[in-house]
Parts: sequence; structure tokens; C-alpha cells
Amino acid sequence: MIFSPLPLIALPLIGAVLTALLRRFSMLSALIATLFPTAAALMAIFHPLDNPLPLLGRQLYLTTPDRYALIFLFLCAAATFLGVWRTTPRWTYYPVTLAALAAVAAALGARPVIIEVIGGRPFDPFNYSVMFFTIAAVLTIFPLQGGQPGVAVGTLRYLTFMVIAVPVFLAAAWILDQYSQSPDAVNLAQTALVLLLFGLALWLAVIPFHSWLPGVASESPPLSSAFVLGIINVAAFFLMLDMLSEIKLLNNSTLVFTVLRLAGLVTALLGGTLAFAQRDFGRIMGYAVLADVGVALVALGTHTVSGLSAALFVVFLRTFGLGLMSMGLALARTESPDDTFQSLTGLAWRRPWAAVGLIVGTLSLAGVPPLAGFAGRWGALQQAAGTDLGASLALVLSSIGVVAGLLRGLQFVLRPIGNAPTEPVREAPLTIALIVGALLLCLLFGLFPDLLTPVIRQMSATYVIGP
Amino acid sequence: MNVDIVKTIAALPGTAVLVALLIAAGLLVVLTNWRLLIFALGAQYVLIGLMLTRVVPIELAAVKALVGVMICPVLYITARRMHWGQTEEESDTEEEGPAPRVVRPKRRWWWIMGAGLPVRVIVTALALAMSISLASRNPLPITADQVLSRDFTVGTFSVMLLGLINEVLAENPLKVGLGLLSFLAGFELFFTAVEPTLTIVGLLGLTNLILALAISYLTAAWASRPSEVKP
Repeated sequence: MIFSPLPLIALPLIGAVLTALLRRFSMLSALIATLFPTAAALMAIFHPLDNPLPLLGRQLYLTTPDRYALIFLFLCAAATFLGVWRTTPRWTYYPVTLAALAAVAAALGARPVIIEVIGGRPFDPFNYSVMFFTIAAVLTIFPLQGGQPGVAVGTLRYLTFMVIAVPVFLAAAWILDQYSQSPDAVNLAQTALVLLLFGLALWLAVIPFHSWLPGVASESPPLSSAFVLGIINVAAFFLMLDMLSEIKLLNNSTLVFTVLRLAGLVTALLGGTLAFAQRDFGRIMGYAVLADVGVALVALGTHTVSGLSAALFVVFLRTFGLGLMSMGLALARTESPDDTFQSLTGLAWRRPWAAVGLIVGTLSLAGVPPLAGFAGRWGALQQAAGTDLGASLALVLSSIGVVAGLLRGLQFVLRPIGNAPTEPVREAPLTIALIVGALLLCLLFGLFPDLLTPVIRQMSATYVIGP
Repeated sequence: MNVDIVKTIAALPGTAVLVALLIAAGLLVVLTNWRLLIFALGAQYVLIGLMLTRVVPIELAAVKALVGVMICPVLYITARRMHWGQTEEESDTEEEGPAPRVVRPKRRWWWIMGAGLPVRVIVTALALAMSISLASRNPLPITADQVLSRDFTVGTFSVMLLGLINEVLAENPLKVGLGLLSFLAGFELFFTAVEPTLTIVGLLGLTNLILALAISYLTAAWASRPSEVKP
């Protein structure tokens, strides 16, 4: 049992209970919140955890890609919890996000080993994953709202899209089940494909279902947005890869990958363009992530193993920039009412570390060399250029849009406040250590992206994607 | 004895239950009074449970209705704590007596129906007509019985569509949340009939409960917003 995926679900849940009980001790709560996912990640690193675990009539097991995905998500969550401790003092963050993390682990592991055994049904691979993922997504509403008076519109839209996706996926699963019993009914296959693509678009915030993303990024506490954009949205991407890999109908369809590529192109291009038009750093972060989602889809849409590797690079390397930017925003938000350019005037003089995080994080999200985001985008660009030069141009434009948006904001951030010299706020050493650590990681993976190659190669080899 | 009562209720004519379900779903769009909305939601869940007794074991249908009945107190307590959707300033004004400037007295039904009633009634009627006509032409293959399949399809389409309309027309999180819960409930009417697995029903129930908690939390935040209109 110990080498089953159970610890990956149990450890965050135990952490959730403990952090709720010890809510008065913020440092202890933060330590527990950081240690439990780290312990789960270390356990998954040193043990394959591939023994099937019977759970709710299913076999819970981890494939190699899901194992790596969970290690990555758990480490990201641990880093986020440290950042939350330094910036957001709301105790509810830890228990709720840890419970969401457990649900994500269940979603990525909850698939039957031998499909035929399940009640004699030939096909039913993702109902449980969808349910667990939705539970995780709905749980994140609490940190997203973050105790603010008045409802953040982005949060409400996010909730709406995530809930609407449930019937879409479950209906697709039922139709696929019908199709497996009568393989001649082509209309059933077509309906299932449309529903699956629709559901994936809702999950990943692909245009035109992106309206929650900038709202969440600008209205919610920055590290709560980072949790949703860097963990929940990434988990959705991995679930999409699982579906593409396991459902032959999706995997064999060239049309599906063409649709993914086109949707990715539009998302990347509009994400970049809209980032340029914003006057709020939070919204720039939202649109930059949107553009990044689009870039990953373009790489995946090439329907090749190298395209899949490029998409995985984009998804993995996004996190460093996102973490850094949200940390900078969270620090800036401690003294500003919002993230508008106007409110953050003179930030570089008042809180230089916050400004560093904000600027470097945005540049990494935009894919500027030599930062982590560049390595991911470069791979995607090479893939896109191999099939369509226009597509690669669109990806470059999306990066330029995000950088231009940042440059518009920089004139406010770098503007001195009056003529009198300003005494900058002294950040706590741990806060500086977190920002410097994220910055170094951003540079390290930007300069040496091959550090991730062994992991991504193993993941790409296990997913069954490609003609 | 309890089982007998449930069996007696389950023996109600299917069409009567369907009509009652459509009325409850329609009221969720038309009404604005929070008390009545929560009551209509509870009725909708019970009626969905009753409809399900015709195709799934009575215990499974009871679980479905029970989850709904558990959601209603969560929303009720929140709504009550939030003064049924009135901001504190509005409540204070009422307690202090009439407002200093002359305002047109609101009619009694205003608190039940609210503004935009004609639009909501027309939209509800159109949605019902659309879903009934669509379901009658293309009933989903839920059971071997054609009439039963048609009834379930009508119920599913109507409740889901009205739930979506509720989400789109409303801006306060309670009503949007009721729309989402209705949307899911409508789908569950269909999905429980074709996939009567206790685990799936349980997971859907858990999703509904967490969703209700999230809606309560958002409603509380919405009610604590600063008033937009300064006196």
C-alpha cells in the first residue's frame, strides 16, 4: 500500500487538517503546508508509487508522466506556500489549497488499470478524474476570493466555466461508451469529439472561454491566482494529455490536433495583443499566461513527439516566471490597493525587490532570453516554424505584446516619487531569499533547459501522442 | 413504514412530477426573493429525486434528493445572515423609518418578483417551449420506454437550460450559484439514469456540496460589499 499513490492524496489531506487546527500559528502552518507536499514529492521521486490501489471500485495508479506531473505540481505548491507565508496572512489558504492538491492527485491517478473489469463496461476512463478535478477547482474559489468584500467577477466566471465543464465531459464519456458498443455510429464519435474539445477549452481558458483569467489575475490575491494558473490550469493540461493519450478516437484524429493548433494560435496571439492593451499588471499576468497556454497548444497541435516535448517544456518553465511575477505583485499589493500602473507608481524606489520580481517574472512569462520562459517558447517556435511560418510569427508577436505591455507599465514603476529621496521598504531576509531563489531558477532553467530533458523525454515517450 | 411512504410518493404520476419540476425550475428564474428561491431549489431537488425513482433504485434516488435537501440549509443560513440580500445600509434605513427624500413606495410583490419580471417570464417561457420541443423530437435513449425517455429528456433539457439562463441573467452570486446548481441537477437527472453508480452519484453529491459552500462564501462576500450608491 505504501508504494501505491495513496500517500500523494493522504499527505496533503493530513496537512490540510493540521494547518486548519494550527491556524493561530502562522509560521507553523506555513511550515506544515510546505513540508507535506514536499514530502509527497520526495516520496514520488524516490519510489515509483505504481502499485495499484483499490479505491471506490477503481484501481488508483500512477503512470510515469502523471508521477512526474504530480512531483512538479507538489513542488510548485510548496514554493507557493512559502510565498503566501511572507505575503498573505489568511490562514484559510493552506487547508483549502492542500485539499485541492489532494483532489488534483486523485484526478491524475484515478483511472482504471484494466478497463474491461469495471462493471463489464468497455470504456470509462476519465469520469472520476473529471469529478476530482472539478472538486479541486471549486475549492480554489476560497483563496481566490480571499476574504475581500464584494465578489470578484473573475472568480464567479471561473466557477461557472469549471462547473459547466462537468456535464460536458461526463456526457462525452457516456457518448464514447455508446460509440464503443456501436462503432459504426460515426455521429456519436463526432459528438464526443466536439464535447471533449469544448470541455478542454473550458478547462484551459482557451479563447473565447478566457474571460475569467484576467479577472482572476487582477482581482484575487496574486499568490491565489498563481495557484490556479500554475497548478490547477497545469493539472488540466496534464489531464488533457492523459485523455489525448488514452482515447484512441482523439489520438488518431488529425482534425483534433489541427483544432488544438488553431485554437492555440488564436489564444497566443490574442493573449499577447490584449496584454499590450492593459493598464494593470495583474491583467498583464493573466493575458501572459493565456498566451503561454496558446503557445503550448500550438506545439502540441503539431501531433509529433517533439511537439509534445516542446509543449511540456512550455508548461514546466512557465511556473518560474509566474511564481516570480505573482510574488512581486503580492509584495506590491501589501501597500497598494490594486495592480494598476497608477497605483504602482514608483514601486522600484519604494519596494525594489517587488519590482525586480514583477519585471523579471513578466519577461520570463513573455519568453525573453535568457530566462526560463524563453527555453519553452523557443522549442514551440521551432515546432511551429517547421509546419507554418505564419504560426511562428504569431507566437513571436504574442511575446512582443506581453513585453510591450510591461514596458508601458515600467514607465510608472520606474518613475521616481517627487524630488525627495525615498527610503525603500526593508523586506524580510526570507522574502528576499525567495525572490532571489526564484530569480536564480529562472536564469538557471533559461540557460540550461536541458536539465529538464531527461524527465520530459520519459514523459513524452510514455504518452501515446503522434501519428 | 418510511419505505412505504417513499414508495407511495414514488407512485405519483410521472407527468405530474415533470410539470411540477418545470414549474420549480421556472420559478428559480422568475423569482428574486431569496427565501422563495431556496424553497424552489429544494422542491426541484425533491422532484428530481422523485423522477429518478422510476428508473433507478429508490435508495439511489433518495441520495440524490438528500444531497439537494442538504444544500438548501447551507444556502438558507447564508441568506439569512446576509439579511436576505439587502445591504446593511438598506436594512438600517428601514429600521430608522422612511427615507428623507420622497420615493415611490414599492409594491408588496416587488420583493418577490423584483425588477425585469416581464423579461424573465418571457425568457423562461421561451426556454421551456424550446426545450420541450427539442426533447419531444429527439428524446435521449435513456430507457426502453419511449414516454419515460421523453419525460426525462424534457426534464433534463429544461432544468439545464433554465439553470444556464439563471446564470446569465443574474449578477448576484446566490442566483448565479442557483443557476449552476440547477444546471448540474438537470444533468444529473439524465446521468444518474444512464450511469446509476453509487460512486458517481456520491462524487457528484460531493461536488454539489462543495459548490454550495463556495456559493455561500461568495454570497457572503457580495453582501458585505460597500454600497455603490452614496446617499
